[in-house]
Amino acid sequence: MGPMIPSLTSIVAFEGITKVYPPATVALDRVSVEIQPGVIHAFVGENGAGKSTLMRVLSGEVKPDRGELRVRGRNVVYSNAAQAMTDGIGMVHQEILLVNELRVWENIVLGVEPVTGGKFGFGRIDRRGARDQVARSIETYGLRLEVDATVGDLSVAARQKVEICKLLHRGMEILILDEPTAVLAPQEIPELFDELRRLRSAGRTICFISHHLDEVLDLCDTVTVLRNGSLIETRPVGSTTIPELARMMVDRDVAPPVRRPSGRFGAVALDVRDLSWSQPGLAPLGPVTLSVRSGEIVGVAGVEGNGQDMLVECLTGLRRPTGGSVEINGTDFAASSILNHRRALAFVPADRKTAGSAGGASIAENIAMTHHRLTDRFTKHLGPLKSMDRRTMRSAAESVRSEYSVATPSVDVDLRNLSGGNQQKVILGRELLEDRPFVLLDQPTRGLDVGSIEFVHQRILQLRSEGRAILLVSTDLDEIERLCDRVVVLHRGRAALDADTAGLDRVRIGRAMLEGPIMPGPNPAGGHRE
Amino acid sequence: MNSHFLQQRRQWSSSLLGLALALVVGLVAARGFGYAAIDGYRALGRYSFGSMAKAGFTLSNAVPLLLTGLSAAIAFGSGPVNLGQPGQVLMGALFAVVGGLRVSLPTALQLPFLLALSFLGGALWAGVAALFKRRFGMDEFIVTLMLNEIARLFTDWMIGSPLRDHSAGSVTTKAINPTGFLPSWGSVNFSVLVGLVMLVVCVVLMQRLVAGYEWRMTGKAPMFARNGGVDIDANFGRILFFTGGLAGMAGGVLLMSGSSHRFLKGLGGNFGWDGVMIAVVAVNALLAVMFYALVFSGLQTGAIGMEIRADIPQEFIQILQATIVLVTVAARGCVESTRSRLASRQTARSGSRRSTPPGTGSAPTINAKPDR
Repeated sequence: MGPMIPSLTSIVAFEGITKVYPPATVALDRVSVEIQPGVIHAFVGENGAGKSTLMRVLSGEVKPDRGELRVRGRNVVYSNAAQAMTDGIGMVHQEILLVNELRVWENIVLGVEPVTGGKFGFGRIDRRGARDQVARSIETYGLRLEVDATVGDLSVAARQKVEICKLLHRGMEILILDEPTAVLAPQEIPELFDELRRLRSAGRTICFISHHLDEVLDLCDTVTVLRNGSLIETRPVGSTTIPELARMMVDRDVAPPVRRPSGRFGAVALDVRDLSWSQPGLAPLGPVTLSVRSGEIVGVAGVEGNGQDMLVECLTGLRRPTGGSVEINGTDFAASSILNHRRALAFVPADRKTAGSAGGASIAENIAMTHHRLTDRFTKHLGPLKSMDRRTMRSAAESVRSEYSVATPSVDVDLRNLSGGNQQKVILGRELLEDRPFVLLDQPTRGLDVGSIEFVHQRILQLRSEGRAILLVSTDLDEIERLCDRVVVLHRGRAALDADTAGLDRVRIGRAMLEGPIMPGPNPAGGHRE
Repeated sequence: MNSHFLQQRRQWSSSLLGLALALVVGLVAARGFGYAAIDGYRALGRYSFGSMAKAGFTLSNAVPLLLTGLSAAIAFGSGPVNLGQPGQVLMGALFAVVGGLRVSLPTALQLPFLLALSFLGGALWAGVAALFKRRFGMDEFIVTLMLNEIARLFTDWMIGSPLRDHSAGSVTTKAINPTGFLPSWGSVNFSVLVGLVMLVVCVVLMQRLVAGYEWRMTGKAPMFARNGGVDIDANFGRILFFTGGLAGMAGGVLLMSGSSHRFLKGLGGNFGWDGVMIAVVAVNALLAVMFYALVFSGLQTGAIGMEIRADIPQEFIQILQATIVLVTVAARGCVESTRSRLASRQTARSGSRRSTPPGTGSAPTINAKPDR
């Protein structure tokens, strides 16, 4: 573990790397790091710390504005990912880009197919040879992958392995993995780690981006901490601890928000019974039954793509359920229009930029949405016509701006000029402008910086104490454990688990996420994350 | 508020830069072809804005451009890709000519009646595309485009057969009843007033009314509008109907303000496509549409001067118009990206991370980009 070899032998060296995203967003500020060959090197930091940007400098996708990059002692300037790949550097991104209809081996050879005969690109693909090559690769690197499986049938974990194998098959020696565990269930992580350790023994160098410190201590040899685009420190994993790393990451001791003692829930506000949606050719939803009491936060967990989107769309009226009922405070909304839903529902969609706001419109215009239909004060009569009341729009925007401390020179600037955290504050401010009994939050903190996350969490807890019923869809188990009174795990469109979070074991949540409904009782299996 | 105006001013300044650049490119091109380019430009200026009378013609000619430009700009800015202005112009003119031949009301009634008819003609024609979208999910972009051809063939047949004036030597209808003629004061046609009224209507609609707010939000982020309770499907139809009507009115104006007051073959000219080009250079901003309508109109009325005085064929103006569109759009993009690149380089050099750009606020600006 953790051999600190003199810098002469480093395989990659960043020196004074600075990257500014136009116009003046400093993503990296004079960062210098050396990576030793044959180690697993962790890059940790909060969202926006610059770890992904730094890795994308190495993979050739981002061109630094200043600084030098040395690979195997040679100064390099990559202007695209293909150039980095000729130096044996490849990156696995968080979004997996594979052809679902093709088999594993077909995906892996895509673009580097062995060709027999023919000239000028008219040769034949040697299918058997290609398949065998891939099978050999899979065996050499000890990956648990079925070479003939169709990628669309594979789990996210297996698809990730296909991506890794793709790089290995192309002879990459430096692998960059961007938060590979973010899309995995807790049980799938140990297997990935075993495989990564085997790759390390085979002499590969692995850059591992994560913000889970336990994973870093478990797997990695060296760790580099970044904060706000600056290098904090690089050190051997053996000589550090989780609390110390956490402090370096956030520059203060983060205390999780304290929850109000449970047991003060009101009546059932959201009552979903046998909700289902189906259409030929698409993964069905439900039947799902769940309820949220006022003053309660219920989390919806699950591996992405297990019906969360459908559930949200059915609850908001974007999709009309094919069965079941959605009652809010006793009124059935299942067959209602979207607008009608909004009378009882505050909704923060997962996709901030396209579904939650219009970046090209001003803050005031973003604030007015929905309310312009439901609240008289946002409009006025212009003869027989209805016009927007700009004064109300601006004053409502100003009140959101001050209440949520949105950093902006004015409420007339386009929303896209704000940082992600400030955009989300505007969206939250709009949705909570009027008191709605039911609040639906879909991934409300995804991609936000740590300060904004804390703000959003505090606001959610405040809503809880105000007696709203809150449904929080999140793929972040930390978030769910921190905030929720109860958790519902979705698996293939059905509720696999519905339990109080108090005293709930993470392994049980993980099993429900992966395996579906579990009968209470016998042995909990699988890996652990704590 | 300041940053908003700054943004606007930048847009205008880079647009004017583009316009100037395009004229220089045109000058060089004309030189390259061996024309007396400077003389040509001088004549262009003199014949478009050189006298009150010439300016009057330019103003009047700008009206159909303004209407088709508004049509395209409002459609593009609200979501639907309405590329059917050429056909809508023709259908508007057809409705107006039928009304103008069959009905004879006093002028005060006849003029609004015919204009309304032309609006209806264009609107219904665009409505066909909306219907196809609703019923069959067909892309309005293709449907409006195809409807142009149908409208051309249909109106050609109408004026060549049922409505044909057999006493005339060419393919044309009879002149409409004189109460439907748009009057002129000198060279300024009454249509200028029609254009101004429609401009005001459009600006009020888009900037003030609830409908315009919803249309604009739908254009910028359709899912956002839908989540917000806006009925984007119904609005889609309304937008096509309204923008089709605007283009139809251009057809009505062409018929009612022309010198013959007949529906001659080729009446729609290139006004439909010019409107699309104007919307593109104006980035769908309504006042900019008016500005470019005047520029294009000036070029078109001045073209004759170029031909008379400098022997530059009128077709050259078409090239110049296209150059303006290309160069202006390119210049704007170029100015924007250069500005941001310079800004980031400067930030990298100074290393000062405290400076935040206007509009970004004081939060750690790093989070503006997703961490990836």
